[in-house]
Amino acid sequence: MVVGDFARDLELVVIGSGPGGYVAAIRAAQLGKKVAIIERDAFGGVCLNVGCIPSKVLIHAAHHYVDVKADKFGVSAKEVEVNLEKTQRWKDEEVISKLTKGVEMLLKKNKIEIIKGSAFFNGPNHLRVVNGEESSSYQFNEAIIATGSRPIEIDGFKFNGRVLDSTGALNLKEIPKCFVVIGGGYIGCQMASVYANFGSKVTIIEADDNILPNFETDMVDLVKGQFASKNVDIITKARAKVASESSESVQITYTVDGNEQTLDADYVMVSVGRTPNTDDLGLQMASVEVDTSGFVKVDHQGRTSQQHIFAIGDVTPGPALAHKASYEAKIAAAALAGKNVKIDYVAMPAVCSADPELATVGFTKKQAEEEGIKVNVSLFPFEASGTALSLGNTEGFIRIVTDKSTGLILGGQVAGVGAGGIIAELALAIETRMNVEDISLTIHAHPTMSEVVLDVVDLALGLPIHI
Amino acid sequence: MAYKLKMPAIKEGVRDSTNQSSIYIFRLPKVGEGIAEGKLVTWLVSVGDSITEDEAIVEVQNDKLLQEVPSPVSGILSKILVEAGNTAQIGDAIAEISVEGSVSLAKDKEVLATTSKIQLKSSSERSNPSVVAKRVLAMPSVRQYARDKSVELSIISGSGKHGHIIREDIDAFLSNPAKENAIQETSEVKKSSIAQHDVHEAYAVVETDKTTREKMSITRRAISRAMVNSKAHAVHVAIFDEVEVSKLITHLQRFKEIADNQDVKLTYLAYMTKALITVLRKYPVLNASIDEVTEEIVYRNYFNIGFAVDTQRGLYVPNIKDADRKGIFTIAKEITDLANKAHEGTLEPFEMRDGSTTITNVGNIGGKWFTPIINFPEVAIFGMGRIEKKPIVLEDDTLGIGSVLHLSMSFDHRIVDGAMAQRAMNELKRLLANPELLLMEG
Repeated sequence: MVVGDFARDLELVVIGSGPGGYVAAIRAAQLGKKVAIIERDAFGGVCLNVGCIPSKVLIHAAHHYVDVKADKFGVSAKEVEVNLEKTQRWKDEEVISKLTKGVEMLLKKNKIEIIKGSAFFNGPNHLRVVNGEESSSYQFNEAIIATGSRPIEIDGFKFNGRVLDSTGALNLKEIPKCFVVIGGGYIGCQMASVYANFGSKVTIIEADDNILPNFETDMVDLVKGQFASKNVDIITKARAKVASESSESVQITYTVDGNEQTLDADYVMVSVGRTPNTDDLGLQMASVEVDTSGFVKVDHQGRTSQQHIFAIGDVTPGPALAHKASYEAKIAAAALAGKNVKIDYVAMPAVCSADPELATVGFTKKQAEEEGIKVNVSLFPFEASGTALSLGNTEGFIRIVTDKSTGLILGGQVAGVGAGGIIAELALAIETRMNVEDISLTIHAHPTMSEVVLDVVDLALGLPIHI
Repeated sequence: MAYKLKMPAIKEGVRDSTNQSSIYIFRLPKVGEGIAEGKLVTWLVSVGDSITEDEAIVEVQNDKLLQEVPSPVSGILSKILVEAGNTAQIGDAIAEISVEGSVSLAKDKEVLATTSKIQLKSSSERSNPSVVAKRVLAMPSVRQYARDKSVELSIISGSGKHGHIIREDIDAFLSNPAKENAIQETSEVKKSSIAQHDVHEAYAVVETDKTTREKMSITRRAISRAMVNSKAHAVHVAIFDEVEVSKLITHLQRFKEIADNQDVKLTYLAYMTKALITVLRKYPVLNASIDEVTEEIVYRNYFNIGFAVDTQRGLYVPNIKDADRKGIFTIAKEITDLANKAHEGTLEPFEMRDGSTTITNVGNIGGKWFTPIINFPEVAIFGMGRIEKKPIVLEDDTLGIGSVLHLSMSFDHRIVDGAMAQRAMNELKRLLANPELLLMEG
């Protein structure tokens, strides 16, 4: 401690205000804790500012553009154009700004003290917060680490100028003529879809032998089909070497089968994964253990190697998903409030807003079989859905994986229009241990895409009406 | 006390987090498959004693076993929450151990992983209809309620739709110490047209000054339950018979010494076991059970011959696994080993499970015939009485002295008919009368 530096006492301090941190802070306050939250940047974290929400805006805007141009259903428009600067302004002012202010308002409403700056542990019960020139010391009883993650930077592709991370790609003021994406995971494919829909010539460079490794190949094939129709090139088993930038463009060098190739683009986005923000927190000073990948080691409640310090969200092992962070936030807050809670889910939904939208929850057939469970798989195509036909969008399907003897719903995969919404029902079914009969006996409103869930469970029961 | 089972140290990650020196709340770990409770027989340490990790700190008895439960941590026993002599549920906090410093979390996780693996394994091995695809059929809120009440859900069978465990099932489990919902009883819970029994009202003895009361031990309760269960399901019919076994006696005497040299105690029970295998082969329905839910007869394709062992704590019925693939010496050896384990209280649950049929032998005590209770869900049980010298009519119609073994057999008349039972008895007699047939036909 610096001489003359008085440490202020805090009861529970939450570090980071993303979908993990702000939820943990609010829940802990609701349960009677006196809470402070530290944020170095904007409230809402990556998710609200440079992740899920701005992506959703651009994805939606790009779809809107494509739809208006489509000349379908007897509706046609002339001279449709997109002004990305206006789109960005709408995104920043109408969406992000409202949401971050909303989070701040919620924090205040719950009497949570807000501390601006970057936090560093300098002891198991001490931390220092640096905000520009200012620096203050705090002593705390309990802490929740919710500092999230950031894009991985690879050799030869330093984020700068025309070499973008996802944040940069979300904030472009002009539609690139040529846009290259390195890494065909869900972030890469979403941004590739956005700019392909806006009319860019997009190329995806992927090191593996297929894009979207977290989804089954028949789902990925649909995305690849859409990419092909939009003239998106996908180069697999390729190693990105270096980006060399000029004032006009950027040249990307990569190798396939040992052969060096180059590509010119206006911008290149590197989306090869995310790394936890745990390296710059002084965790060793607090004796909080991390694993070799930098993830904080936690138990079944999110408790770290220190009794009084918890960690949630992207800094812990598992998929880097906002909704995982929010779930863990509530468990950690309840545990700190003395409740006998446990991270106890079997259904973790994941959505990729490519074209078509993909969503998955629970077991795939392969995963269930690896667990030694005998399953039935039922697939209902959107071609047979009246709603999908009305929407002029019949590409896709719902598939469910069910326990062979009991019909218990173990997993579901959805590709196509509304997949991200449809997956919620399957997640609920899995987490509440429903079987196909339970869903079959539940009325689904007509005409909606959710009806297809009814169709697929009827199919699983061997009594399909519509196929 | 060398005979006791040593349990792996299983640490529940429950601890008090209020200050730096942590208090481990030590919860009773799983002490056997399908077992919901255990009686804390003796605390091996006292409050204030320092304990090292893996040191046995308490003796726990469940239905069948006496086990030492080790401490998962090193520290000082700061509080005993359940005194010796009381019964605790699995997951109940039974002691507090104050741990100096913080215990490595990595280790905690590792142990937790082991625990959950064990739980998964045991729940999938048992047939709790409320556990499907390794997950318990309960809503998230019910799972939380179970945690709040420290109830292990995988041992409860749910009363909700298609086996769902509902909040009320947990309340019922907690309020009923007999644990009527526990998994052991699920076969009765299921409804079937051939197995609907009225639950009879419990009988209470009126207290007088000429009576004294004693709590039934867990083992005695288990025996009592098993007996009632068998009588409630199986339709018992008994037949009695006798067989002249001079040749068997000679045979045993002839091989006794060879057996002794191999450290094997050769007994009539071993011959009986061997003979029953041939009988069961010929009459497979004696090696079957009734699935009352599906109304099917389930034939076993294995021969696990059980035998009753009378111990100080009560009756145990281990069985000799795959006895059809074993010689009489091996069978005799295993009988001795299993009987020893029964006396010591170290039988493993699997050693008492999946029996084909059972032999109960009172001959060494005395008595001739009796009506044994079937070891349900088996469908037959064979009783051996005394071997007695008796006048018998010889082949040439003169009188002679024979050595006569008294045999009883109870069978479940639902699937075993009387004529077949007698034929099986005849076959058993034929083999025991001519033990050399066991070599030819066994």
